[in-house]
Amino acid sequence: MNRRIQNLCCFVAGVLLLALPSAAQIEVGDNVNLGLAGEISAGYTGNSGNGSSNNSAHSLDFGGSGSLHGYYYNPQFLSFQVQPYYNRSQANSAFQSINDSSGVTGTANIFGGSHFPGSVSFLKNYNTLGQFGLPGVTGLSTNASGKTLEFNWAALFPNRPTLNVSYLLGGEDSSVYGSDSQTHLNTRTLNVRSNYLLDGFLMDAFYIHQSLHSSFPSILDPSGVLLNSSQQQGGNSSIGFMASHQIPLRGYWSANVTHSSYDSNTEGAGFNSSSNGSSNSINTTASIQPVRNLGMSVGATYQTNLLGALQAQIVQAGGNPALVNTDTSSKGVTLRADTYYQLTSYITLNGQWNHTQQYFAGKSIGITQFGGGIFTHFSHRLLGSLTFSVGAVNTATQEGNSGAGFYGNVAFSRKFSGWETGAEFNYAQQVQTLGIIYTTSVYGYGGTLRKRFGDKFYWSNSARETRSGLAQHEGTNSHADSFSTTVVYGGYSANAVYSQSAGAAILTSQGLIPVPSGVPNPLVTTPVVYNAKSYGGGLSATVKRFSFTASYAKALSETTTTTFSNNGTTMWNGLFRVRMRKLYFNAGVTRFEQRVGTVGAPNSVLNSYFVGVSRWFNVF
Amino acid sequence: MRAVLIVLLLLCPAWGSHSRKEKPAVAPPPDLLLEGGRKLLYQRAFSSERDVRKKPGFFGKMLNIIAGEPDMHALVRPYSIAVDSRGRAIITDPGADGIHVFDFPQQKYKFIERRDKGKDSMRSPQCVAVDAQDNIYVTDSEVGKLFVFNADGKYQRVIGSLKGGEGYFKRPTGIAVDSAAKMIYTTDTLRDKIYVLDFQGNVVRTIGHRGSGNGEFNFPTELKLTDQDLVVVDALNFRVQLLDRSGTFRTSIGQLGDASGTMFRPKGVAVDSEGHYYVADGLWGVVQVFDSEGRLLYYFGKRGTAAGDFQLPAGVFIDHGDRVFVVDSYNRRIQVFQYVGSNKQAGKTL
Repeated sequence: MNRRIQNLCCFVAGVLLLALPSAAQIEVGDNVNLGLAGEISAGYTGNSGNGSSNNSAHSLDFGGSGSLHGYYYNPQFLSFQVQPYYNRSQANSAFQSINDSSGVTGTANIFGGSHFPGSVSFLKNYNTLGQFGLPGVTGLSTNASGKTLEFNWAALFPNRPTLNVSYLLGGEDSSVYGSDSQTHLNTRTLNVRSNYLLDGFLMDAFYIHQSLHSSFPSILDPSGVLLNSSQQQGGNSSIGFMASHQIPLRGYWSANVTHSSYDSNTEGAGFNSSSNGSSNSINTTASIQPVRNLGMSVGATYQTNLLGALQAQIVQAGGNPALVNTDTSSKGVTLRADTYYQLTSYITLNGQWNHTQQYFAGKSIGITQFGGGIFTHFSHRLLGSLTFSVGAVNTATQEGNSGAGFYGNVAFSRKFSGWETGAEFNYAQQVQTLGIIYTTSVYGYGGTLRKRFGDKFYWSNSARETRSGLAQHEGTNSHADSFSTTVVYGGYSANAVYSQSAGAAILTSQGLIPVPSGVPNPLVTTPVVYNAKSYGGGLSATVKRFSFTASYAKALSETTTTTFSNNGTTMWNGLFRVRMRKLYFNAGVTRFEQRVGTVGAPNSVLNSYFVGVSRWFNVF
Repeated sequence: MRAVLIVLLLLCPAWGSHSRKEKPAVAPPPDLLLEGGRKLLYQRAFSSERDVRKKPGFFGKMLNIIAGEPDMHALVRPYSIAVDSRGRAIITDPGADGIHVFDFPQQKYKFIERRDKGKDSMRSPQCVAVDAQDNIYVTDSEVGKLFVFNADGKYQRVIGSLKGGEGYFKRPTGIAVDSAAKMIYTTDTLRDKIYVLDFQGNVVRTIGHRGSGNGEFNFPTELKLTDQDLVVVDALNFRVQLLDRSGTFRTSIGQLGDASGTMFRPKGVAVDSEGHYYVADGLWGVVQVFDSEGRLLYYFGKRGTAAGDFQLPAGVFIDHGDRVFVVDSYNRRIQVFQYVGSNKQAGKTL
C-alpha cells in the first residue's frame, strides 16, 4: 500500500512538473531558460503468473516520462535537469512490461565556469528490472529499487594546486525472480584528489575511502550455511602520492607511494569471519631514449603485506576475503629493467629482466626472470595489416630453473573482395603475479567478418574465446566464449548471440564476478564455481510508420558452492508500434520464466500484454 | 472518471504547446527605389512545408491538439532554385539529400528523394532546372550524374550512369535545359567544361577548357539560359561569362575584388525581364545587379539574419513575373523580392 501511495505521489508530482510550467514559463523572467519535453501514455494491461505477487490481473493503466532542463542566468552559472518517469521500463523502453518502473533522476551544475565548479546528482527508482550478474553471460533477472546521491566540487586556480572532492551515497535492494531471498547494498565513497605542477614536477595526491554494507543472497546455496543470507560490513581506504619529472636524454622519471587498508566483517548463519589489514607500496621508474631508435627503463617496487594486498582486491570487488590477515610482516622487492631497439621501421627488438625477492613467514624467496622478443608491424595496400610480436621469458628461483614461458600477439586485418576480415591471437605463459609463487597463463583469439552487399544489405559476425588461470592452482581456470551475427537489410534486421563461460567467481550482493587475476582461490571465502551459457536472437522491422521488434533470450547456469544450484531464465518479448504524428499506438507481449536453485525447482512465470496509446510532446 | 483524467492529461501539454508557437513578427526591409521609377520590393521568406500548407480547419486543429502537429519538412542547406510554369518553387537541398517542391498556388508540398536505390541513389542534389513540360533536372555533384523527374516528382531516368554505377561526370553542378532544341547544358566543375547533351544523355559537344581567357573557365558552377545567351558563373575567375548557344564568347561581367561591382564568391545568377544580371556573392551576402555591359546598377542585401539579409546566398531565380527568388542558404530560407520595372505594376504575390 505504501508503495502505491509513493508511486501515486511520484506520478502526480511528475504531471504537475510536466503540465504546469507552460504557464510558469511565461513568468520566470529574463534570467531563466527552461525546456520541457516528455511522453505520457495510457493503455490496457493484463498479466498472469504463478508468483505470489503476480496473480492474474488486468487494468487500465497510465504512465509517462518527462525531461525538464534549464539554466539560471547562464548555463555555466546554474544548470539543471530533472527526469521523472512513472510506469515505464527504462531498461528496454518497453513501458508496462514485466516491471512498471518509476523514479526520478536529477542533476544540477553550479559555477561551471568559475574556480569552484560543483554538481549534485540524484537518482531514485522503484521496481526496475535489474540483473544479478553472471560472468560473461546474461545474468538472472531481479526486481530492484535503488537510490544514489552524489556531490562533486572542485577548486581550480591557475598555477596553484587543484582540489577535486566527490562523495557518493548509494543503495539498492533487490530480489531475484524465482527466489524469496533479498539482497541489499549500501555504499559510501569519498574521493579527494589534488595535483600541482611545480618547477617541472607534476605531483598528484589522492585519498579514497569506500565503506559498504551488503547482504548476499542465498539463491546459489539454498541449503548451505556459509552463504545463507550472510551480511558483510567493511571498507577500504587508499592514500597516495605521485610525482613525475622529465630527465635528460628524452627521459622521464616517476614515483608513487600508496598506503592501503581494508576491513571486512561477515556474519552468516552459524559463522562469523572478520579480516583486516594494511599494506604499503613504493614504486619508481626512470626511462630514457638516448637515440631515436633505442629506449631503456629501470624501475623498482617495494610492497608490504603481500597477502593483505591480495585480500584487499577481493574486498574492493565486493566479495568476502577468507583469511584473518594478522601477518603484516611479509614484504617484497622487485627490480626490473627493459630495453627496446627499433631495427627497421617495422621491426622492434626488446629485452627485459626482473628480480623479485619476497619475505614471507620467515622465509626469503627469490625469483629472476629474463627474456626478449620481437615486434613487427606490417601494412600493405594489397596484403592488409599485420601486427606480430613474440618473445620468451626464463624463470629461475633459488631452488633452480622453473622453465621458460612464452608470449605472443598476432593481429591481422584485410579486405577480400568486399569482405572485411580481422583476426587476433594472444598468448602469455607464466606471467608473474603479486604473489611470487603464483604465475598466470592466458590465451585468447577472435575474429570479425563483415560485408556490405549493395546499399541495403549488411552482414557482420564476431567470435572470441579467452582462457586464463593460475598455473600453480587447480580450479582457478576460467574461460569465456562469445559469438554474434547481425544481418541488416534496409529497415529490417536480425541478430543472434551466443556466449558461454566457466570458472571461479566471488559472490557479491550484485552477482558473481570473476576472481581477480592473480588472486588464488584459497583467499576467497567459498568461491563459486560456475558454468553458464546464454543465447538469443532478435528481429526488428521499421517500415514507414510501423515498427516491430521481437526478441528471445535464454540463459542457463550451474553453480557449485557447498551445494549445487541450477538456474535458468527465458524471456520472450514482442512490441508493435504505429506512429501517427506525435501519437504512438502500442501493443506488446512478454513471457518471462526464471528458475533458481535446486534442480526441478518450479519456474517463476509471468505473462503480460498491453495495448495502449502514448503521446510525446515538446512543451517548450 | 479515470479515463477522463487520462484524456485530459494527454491533451493538456498539447494545448500548452500549441499556444506558444506563434512566430515573432519580422519587420520587412524598406523598398529599394531605383532610377526611372523602378523598384525592388521585399515580398516574403519561406523555409518549411508549414509555410505552404493551408491553415487547418476546426477538425484539423482538433487533430493537431490530440495527435500533435504533423512533421514538416524544412530547408536544411538549400542551394539552388527553379520555378516552373505552374509557379512551383523547386529547391535542391544537399543537406536534406532531396528536393523540396513548394506549390504555393495549390498550397501543396512535395519532397523528392532517392535514398537506398542502389547504384542510382541521389546523394547530393546540387542545381536544378525545368523544361517546358515542367520535368525536373537535377545535378548530383557527389555521384556525378543527372537525375530527371517528371512534373509530379516521379523518377524518370538518370543521365551519366556508367556500367557499374559510377557517374560519368566528375562534379556536375550547374544545369540548364533548352526545351526547343532538346538540349541539356551542364557544367562539370572539376573538368572546367560545359557539356551539351541531348535528351537521351548523349554528349553532343563540350564548351570551354581550363584557363582565364575569354571562353575559358576556372571551376565553372551555375548556368542559366536566356533567349540568346548561355550565362556561366566562372567561379574562380571571379566573373560571369556570357556565351552564345554554340559556346562563342560574347562578354563577361565582374572581376575579383572587395568593392561594389566586383566579385569574391559568385554563386547563383539570374536574368530579369529587362536583361539585367543578378549575381549572388556568397561571401559578402549581397545580390549585385548588372546591365548587359557589366555596369553595376545596384545591389541589395547585407550579411545578417534579418529580413532582406543573407548568409551564404547561393541560387537565384527570376520568374516571368520578375519575382526574384534568392536561396539564403545558411539562414535556411528562400527570400522573395518583386522587381518592378519602369512603367510596370508590382506582380502577383506568393
